[in-house]
Amino acid sequence: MLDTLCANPRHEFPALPKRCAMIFRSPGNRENWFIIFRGAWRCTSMTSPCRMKYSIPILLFIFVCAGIPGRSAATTLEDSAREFAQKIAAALASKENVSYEIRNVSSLQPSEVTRMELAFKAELKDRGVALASGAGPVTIVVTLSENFKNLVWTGEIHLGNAPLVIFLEVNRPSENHAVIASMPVSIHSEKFWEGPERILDAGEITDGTGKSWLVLLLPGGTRILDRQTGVTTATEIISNQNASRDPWGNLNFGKSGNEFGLFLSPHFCSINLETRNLSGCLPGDGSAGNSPASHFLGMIDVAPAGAPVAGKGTEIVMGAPVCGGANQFLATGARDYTQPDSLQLFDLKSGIAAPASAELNFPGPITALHAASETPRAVVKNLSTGNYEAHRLSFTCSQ
Amino acid sequence: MLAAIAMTALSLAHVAKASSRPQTGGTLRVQMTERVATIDPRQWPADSMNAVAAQRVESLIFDRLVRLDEHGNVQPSLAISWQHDAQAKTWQFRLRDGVKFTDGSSLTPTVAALALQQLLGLTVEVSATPDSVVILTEHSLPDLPMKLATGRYFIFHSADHNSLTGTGPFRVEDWFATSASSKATLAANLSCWAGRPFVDKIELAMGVDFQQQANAISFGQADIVELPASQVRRAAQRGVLTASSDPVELFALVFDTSRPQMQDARLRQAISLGIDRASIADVILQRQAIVSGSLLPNWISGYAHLFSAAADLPRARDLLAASAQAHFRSMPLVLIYDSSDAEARAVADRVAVNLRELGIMVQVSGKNVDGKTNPPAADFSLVREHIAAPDTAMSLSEILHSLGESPAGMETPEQIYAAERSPIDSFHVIPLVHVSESYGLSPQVRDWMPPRWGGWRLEEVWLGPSTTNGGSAQ
Repeated sequence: MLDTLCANPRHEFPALPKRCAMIFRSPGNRENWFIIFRGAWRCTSMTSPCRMKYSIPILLFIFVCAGIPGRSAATTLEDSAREFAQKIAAALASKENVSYEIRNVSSLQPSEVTRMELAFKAELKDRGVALASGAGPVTIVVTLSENFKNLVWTGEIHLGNAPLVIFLEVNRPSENHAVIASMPVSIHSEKFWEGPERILDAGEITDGTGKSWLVLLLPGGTRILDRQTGVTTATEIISNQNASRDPWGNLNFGKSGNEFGLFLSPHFCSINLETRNLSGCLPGDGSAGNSPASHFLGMIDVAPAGAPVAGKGTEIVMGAPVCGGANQFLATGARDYTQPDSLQLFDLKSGIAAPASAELNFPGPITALHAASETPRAVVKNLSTGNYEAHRLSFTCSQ
Repeated sequence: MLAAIAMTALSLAHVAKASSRPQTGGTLRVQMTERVATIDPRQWPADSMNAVAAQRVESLIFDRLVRLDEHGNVQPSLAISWQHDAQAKTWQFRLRDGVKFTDGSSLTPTVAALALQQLLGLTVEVSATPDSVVILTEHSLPDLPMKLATGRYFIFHSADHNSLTGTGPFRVEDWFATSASSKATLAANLSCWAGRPFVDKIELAMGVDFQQQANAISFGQADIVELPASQVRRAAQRGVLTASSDPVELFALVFDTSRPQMQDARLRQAISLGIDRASIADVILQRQAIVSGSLLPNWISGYAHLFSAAADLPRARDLLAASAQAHFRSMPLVLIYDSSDAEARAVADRVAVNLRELGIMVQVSGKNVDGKTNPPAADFSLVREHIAAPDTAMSLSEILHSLGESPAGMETPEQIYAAERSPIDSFHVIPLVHVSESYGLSPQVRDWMPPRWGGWRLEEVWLGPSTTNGGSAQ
């Protein structure tokens, strides 16, 4: 089965190759695919069974799909390099005295180019290509380029007049987020999810027995990835955030076993991780519900008292102060969603906010910040990739 | 107790949102050069620049079955899912429930099918099932969702033949058109299925020339204006916030090889080698363009490095010396450009200067799009094409069709590359530069986040308090 048909599969759930049908190009090489569509979760009827539906069936479509012949199915740079070398080796009329050069005009780092070249060269040799030490009669010019979706590798095989050009599209390798440390407290961020869909919150849960889940909160419900099985389950929750251009909501990972809570206006809900079903929902209008209240206590993000700090945007009180602090809050920048953002920790003493950390910069706006719980989280829209990123925040104290 | 917690959380949780949050309200004042004559996808302009303008305005009123996200991937819009048969000839798009047009009528598969049938033409058959639109095509159309996510394929409801309504974020409140300009007032669709837009109204002035737009943004009379490439730096120096897309417009020369003097490929190649593209990009277009030897910019294709754009005057002179055609030294070649496009005029003049340095006489002549002037027969034309979609095959196909080429199968990267290579290698088409689309923004404009291939997303824009002027945004 092809596994690289989605544009940005990295950090995606393996069972969720979203909406692949639209990027298929060729009727050739058809294979069966299981596809889950986000839009299919939407419950449009406001009847009671629909409004309080605990879970909806995940819609599985068996598609007869066609792959993009030039898109690499490899998962690492080395795999892609080997696949590229195989294509080039297959196109070589003569495998004797072949020389090559690699030009990098992409965002790949020198170390990544070196990794690519090592694998590429080794694969050529494995395919019986005799590499010349100097210029040979056959020259391959490999250019590592990129378009806005993928890396694009071209191999120009020069033998005679017009070069033969071999192509391979390769998914970009994942990036590592920089960490900034200074001042009494250092903030660290760890990206634990990335994807094209706007998420409102995200978190990872372990139950103490080795089981773990990744939970995403979206405007229309949740998506839960079982780390053990790789199975993703979508649960729809009727929410007015579906019809908002600035949706919000948050998760609360409580203490009661395999359940977690969430707020997705107008509902407070809890979900059982084992069954992936809604355990209960409480309408936010105050009417009765049957959800355990403990799930909702830790999800209330509040702003600190007093005037906002100049130059800062959203301020959220830290539910669990760090490094001996008592009243602390996290503050984002004050720019709009077109600009990179930052986070800074402040200590609030006698009504005066003093910076407790340096600014931790992010490659895009912070679209959601949750600091009420013991594990603060930020959702960032990376302006370079266009993807949303879930970051787990941690703090270290200066000696 | 639980209800109390819930109510408390409701009252406080709004602060959990980060950064500067969007605000609703206000009137967004937008100006544009092109004039959109009518809000009707059935009357789609043939010219790519006019089509782009129509697409921008109509996307405020209408939705498509599917849309493109910022990665250029097709995403659900009015259709929530879709599937096709093995041959990609039968497509089924399941519609979203509960969507209403701004006239209050419901979106139904029948209405959507009727709209699409009028837009797709008779070569396809569009029908409705209880929850879906089904499209049957004679030929395999594996890229149909991408096609339906761009261009004219809006879903509209026609209460009467002349009045169309949509499901989009705005509705037309007022439309005033003269032969020279048009003005429209668009009101927010408060019950839009995707959420109400942030601004209450858009005042859209069309057919406004660049100078008037520059004045309007400088004097606070507009919030969003178009900036020609040559004006972007000047606007920024005046304190106007500017924003530019990736290069999305192609300037290219297209030869009429039916003209006897243009049949010699050596002459056409000499012209290609004799043009100083860098001066066009850096001087004429003030570095808002990139030199290009390819039809598609590299950010779309990723392989533009395979095309040379370098000038080579010695080689050009050698080719001219060997050319069977010699009359160009005495009788000028006629280069036609769109006379309504000041940038095109400047680029055409620069091309003529370069070629005169080679010894090729060139007469530059403007062609009025309304046909009022009668220019001499063109030996070659300067064309300006807008990238249709962030998709290599579709963009290339559109450009080639527009240039009069007939591309063959473009399914593999190698085939796409070959299709692009063909008219360039034969010197029927000479790409010159790719130009960015630029805008001037007032200090109140927030979240201006158009896709990198240009265009608007005015439904996402909101108006904040004024901030310090100046600078640029991408």
